[in-house]
Amino acid sequence: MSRIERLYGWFDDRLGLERSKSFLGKAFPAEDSYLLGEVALFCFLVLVLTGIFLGFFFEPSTSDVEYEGSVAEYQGEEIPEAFASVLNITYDVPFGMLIRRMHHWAAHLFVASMALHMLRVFFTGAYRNPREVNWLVGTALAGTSMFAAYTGYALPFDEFASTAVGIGYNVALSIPIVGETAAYLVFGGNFPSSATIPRFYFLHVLVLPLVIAGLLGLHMAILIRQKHTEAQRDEDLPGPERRADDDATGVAADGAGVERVDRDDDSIVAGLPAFPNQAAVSAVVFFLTLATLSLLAGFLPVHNVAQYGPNDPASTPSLIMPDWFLMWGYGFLKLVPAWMSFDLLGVHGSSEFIGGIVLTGLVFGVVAVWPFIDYEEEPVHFAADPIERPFQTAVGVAGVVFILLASLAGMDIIVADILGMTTAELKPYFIAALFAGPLAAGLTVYAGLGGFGDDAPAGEGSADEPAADGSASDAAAESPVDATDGVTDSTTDDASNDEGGDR
Amino acid sequence: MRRGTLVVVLVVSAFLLPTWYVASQGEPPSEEVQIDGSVSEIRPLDGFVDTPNKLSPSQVGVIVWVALLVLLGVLAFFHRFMNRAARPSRGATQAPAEGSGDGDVPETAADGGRATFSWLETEDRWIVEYVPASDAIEGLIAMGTLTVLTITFAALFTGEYLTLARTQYFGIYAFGMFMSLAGLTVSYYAWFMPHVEVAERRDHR
Repeated sequence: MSRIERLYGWFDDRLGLERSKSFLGKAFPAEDSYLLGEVALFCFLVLVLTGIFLGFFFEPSTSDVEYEGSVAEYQGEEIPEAFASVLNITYDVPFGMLIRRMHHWAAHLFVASMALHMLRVFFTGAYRNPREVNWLVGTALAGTSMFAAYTGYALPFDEFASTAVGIGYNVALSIPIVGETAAYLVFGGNFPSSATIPRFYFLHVLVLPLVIAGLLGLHMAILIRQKHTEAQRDEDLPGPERRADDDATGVAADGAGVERVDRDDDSIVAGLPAFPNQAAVSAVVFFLTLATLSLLAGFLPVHNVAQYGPNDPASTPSLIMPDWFLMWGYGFLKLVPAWMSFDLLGVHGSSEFIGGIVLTGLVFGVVAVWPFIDYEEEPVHFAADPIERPFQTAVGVAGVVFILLASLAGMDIIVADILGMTTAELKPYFIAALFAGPLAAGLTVYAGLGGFGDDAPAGEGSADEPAADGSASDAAAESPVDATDGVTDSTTDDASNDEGGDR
Repeated sequence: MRRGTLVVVLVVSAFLLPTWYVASQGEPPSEEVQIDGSVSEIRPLDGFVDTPNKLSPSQVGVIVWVALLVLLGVLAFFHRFMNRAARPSRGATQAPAEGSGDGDVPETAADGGRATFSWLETEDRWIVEYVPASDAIEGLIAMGTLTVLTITFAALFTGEYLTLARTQYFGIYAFGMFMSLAGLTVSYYAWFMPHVEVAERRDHR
């Protein structure tokens, strides 16, 4: 027995490696868009690693110190310690600027890849039974990640960030009854106070990453247990009785026919084994994600604090806006008119509360409950074709358009500048567009996909649903037994149980 | 492109492109931060390409979405290349028996069995496709070249760290290093790893 085998045996005795080795063969469907989740996962890994590096140098304090670093503009000035430490990381630590930019770009790519991942899941109906729970976990993950990015945005305590974060403080304060408590808990009192940055730092480097890591772990545990959805297969698969001594032509070594798994049988999931094939694909995703972040960090600045200067309570930057993924919420804040504030049973609800909490909460709420609106009685394991689902796709497109228009409203200063109007003049148009735009987009898509019946798509679960290659799925009209050309096995029997009228 | 897909793409683009146009207007250019060279020897701002000094959050949003879409495009290209190159003789060896979806000939070991990992086949999982590695000479050339490139970029990155620590150079060296590593993995997968697909029962734990 070699040393390596003895070492393996030592660990195996203690950890039961041999019993769990079969996990390495788990099937991962080889779809390009299914790798979006991995991009998000690797971005989180980059965030943690670069965050550890930054944590060595960052000082979470607003106390003034005399700056002695290499940025000429601030030399000899009294500036907040947090701001000075970020200048130090950026300009005086070898590859500090690269790591800091990578951290920022990874945060943005994390949110973007998660959003695109959610859109992929939405449009392919991958949230349906039995994956509702994982959709809820994913939604919580998206919300937590946005909040984590928000807390990180404030840490340099520069003029731009502190002004933008101040808007969040006012929104937190606007929550009826518990507003002051919530604002105190998150911001440590009147913003900006000396407690805000330490509190944000604690949330940003410990609490929120732990929550995100926990949710990611839960998300993946559920995924591993339920297994992936899978795109509609083009052809039948060889069945479980096929073994190494059979050849791949469907003929066993003894000349007998090898059983087949029907292409519509979703009780089986097919794909690349986790190791080594999927592991190699994941390594490519990892390296490409790092390459993208390196290129972005090397050439494009993000949140360049030296340009903005330290927080100055006496001034307001000319162009204030939050991170792009919070822009839609900022748009709501700008569009909700003051007259919408209310007093109910002695409780005051301001327009900030309606725009910043109620409307954004409604958007997240609708996203969260969607699997229970588009509900399936029976489990569905194949990804849907969005073109075959006019209603759901129209709702999804309307939602995307709604967020885009709200984001545009958040950038109303730029729009006004382009159009030569004032933001006040633009406001009614934005409000009208926020209602009319999604409706028009949704109806156009619904009509374009034949939702009104003039060009009806093949119904889901209908026997003549077109296959991925455009051919009719005759097999779906047959019983699984018939579809397997007379071969019966437990696999196809399972399929008949799983396939209700849900596809 | 199917008509339905075209409708969706057109409707989304009609709203997305104006939003991106507005977002990309963001921050006007400003003067570069002045560095006092007597404090530190590193030159993080030095580079070979003129880039913006600051970006507004909205501009960052546009850039990151474009970057994500490009990343996905490159990923899809590599992913398909890995699968295509892993099946160099698929067309030639496809022996379409009646009702068969695949026809690749599995690699046969000396004892007549197929050489795979022990964990691939279990009671609930079985191999549905197996294409042996081609071990082609071009794979060896590609891997050799990419190994040299990886080492070169890593050396340049280290050299930059030990000298001026210019961010643009760090970026391009790291980009080259990670792209070379991605290419190495792709080459190894495409030419030297058997392409295996498995199927397993969903209800097994």
